[in-house]
Amino acid sequence: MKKPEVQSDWIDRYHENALNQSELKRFNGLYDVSGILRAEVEVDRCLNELLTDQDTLDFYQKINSVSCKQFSTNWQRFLLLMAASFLILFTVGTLLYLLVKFNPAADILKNEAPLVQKTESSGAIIPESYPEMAHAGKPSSISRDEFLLPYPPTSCFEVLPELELLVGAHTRTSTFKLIAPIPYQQMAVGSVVVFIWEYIGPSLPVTISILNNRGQSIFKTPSIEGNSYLLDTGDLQKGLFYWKITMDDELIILGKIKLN
Amino acid sequence: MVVNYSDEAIILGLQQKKARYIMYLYREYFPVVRSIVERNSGTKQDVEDVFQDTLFVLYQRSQKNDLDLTCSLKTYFYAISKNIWLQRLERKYRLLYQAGFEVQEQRAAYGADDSETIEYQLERKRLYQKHFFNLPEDCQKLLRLCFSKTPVQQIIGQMRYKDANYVKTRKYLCKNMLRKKIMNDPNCQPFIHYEKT
Repeated sequence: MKKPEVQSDWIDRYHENALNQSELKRFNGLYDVSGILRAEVEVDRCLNELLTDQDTLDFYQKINSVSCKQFSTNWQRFLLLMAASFLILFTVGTLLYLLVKFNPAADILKNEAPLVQKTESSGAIIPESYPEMAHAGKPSSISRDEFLLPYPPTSCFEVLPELELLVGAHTRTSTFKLIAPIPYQQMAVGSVVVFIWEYIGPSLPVTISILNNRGQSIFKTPSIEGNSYLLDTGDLQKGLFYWKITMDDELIILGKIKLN
Repeated sequence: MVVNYSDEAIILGLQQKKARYIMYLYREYFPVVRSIVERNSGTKQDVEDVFQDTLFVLYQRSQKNDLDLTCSLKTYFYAISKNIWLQRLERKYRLLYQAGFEVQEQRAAYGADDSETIEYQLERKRLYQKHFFNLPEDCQKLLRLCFSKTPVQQIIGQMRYKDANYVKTRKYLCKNMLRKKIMNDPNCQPFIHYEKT
């Protein structure tokens, strides 16, 4: 007689007591020799227990759904946090951009023409005793980069007490004598300030700096070897400015100009 | 707004399998389990597993109405989860705890010797159910109907199968699929015994 072939449903049928005599005999024979079949029968028995306990399955289903929800909630929270961070960064970035773009101070830097334009007709104030200065050359330009900090119009005529004390005072007069300008001078915007000096003794290069009324340097000449210098105020705004002449980084004289 | 439930409300909610109480337990008690498991060389997955097993123990207890709390539910939950994790460590890594007193003490606190709280069975049940819920929807439904002893005619109607034979065949196929998934899962290997007992 042909032995019945083992089918995949035999394990289920074994547990359901649905195998006939010959099938059961064959199954038991296999069960004795096959570890895999024994393991599978054991797994099936445990599965039957689990599947019969519908209540437990329901509870596990609930746990799984809550666990998934928790997971997705955490993800949602994370994504929300990321989105909020991006939004904040974007807002702050935009605000900063707008602030820089529409800041009046930055506007001066961006939109204004160069502070001093080179001009042939300088309108320089030349002292009468030095007529040759009319041919001293073109006035120097103050580059835009050197205009460090523009300041609001309301305070541009205020004096700086710390510098006021030094206006007109020579700190080293033995070899240097300033002829022009006078320590305090008023002039119109666009005038050229003429610096003329003499040396009593050996001549040394000097440097002229222009400071705003906050004491910030807005222009500095390179070392000047000669005896004169023309400074065009054409693109300076109205206000009070200080100038200083230094020799070997040592202050010689400080003065001020009021541009109306 | 953060809602706080009393221990009694939680137990009642758990008895009725209400999702919001399970979520509440996740929110409030999950950190407790995490502190136990991660402190004792556990991974994030271990935390999740121990938490679910503890939840299941609590559920079973609440179903049997034998949750006679002498401490707060949180302490109780802590005790269960700690014991489950220590037992699991012991089983998995065959570690010998010198501080065995603590384990015994915790066991005494909630009667861990009861069959439903045996860690081994908890893990097996959890793994098997995971595979069950990974089956195709129709298989899950069919197996649940078959094991809840629903009449075949009703199953045919609900599942829109042509006859009883197909129900039977389909059931065997689904069951076979589930068995194979379990047999092939490395996590399930500790629960599969190839030797004759």
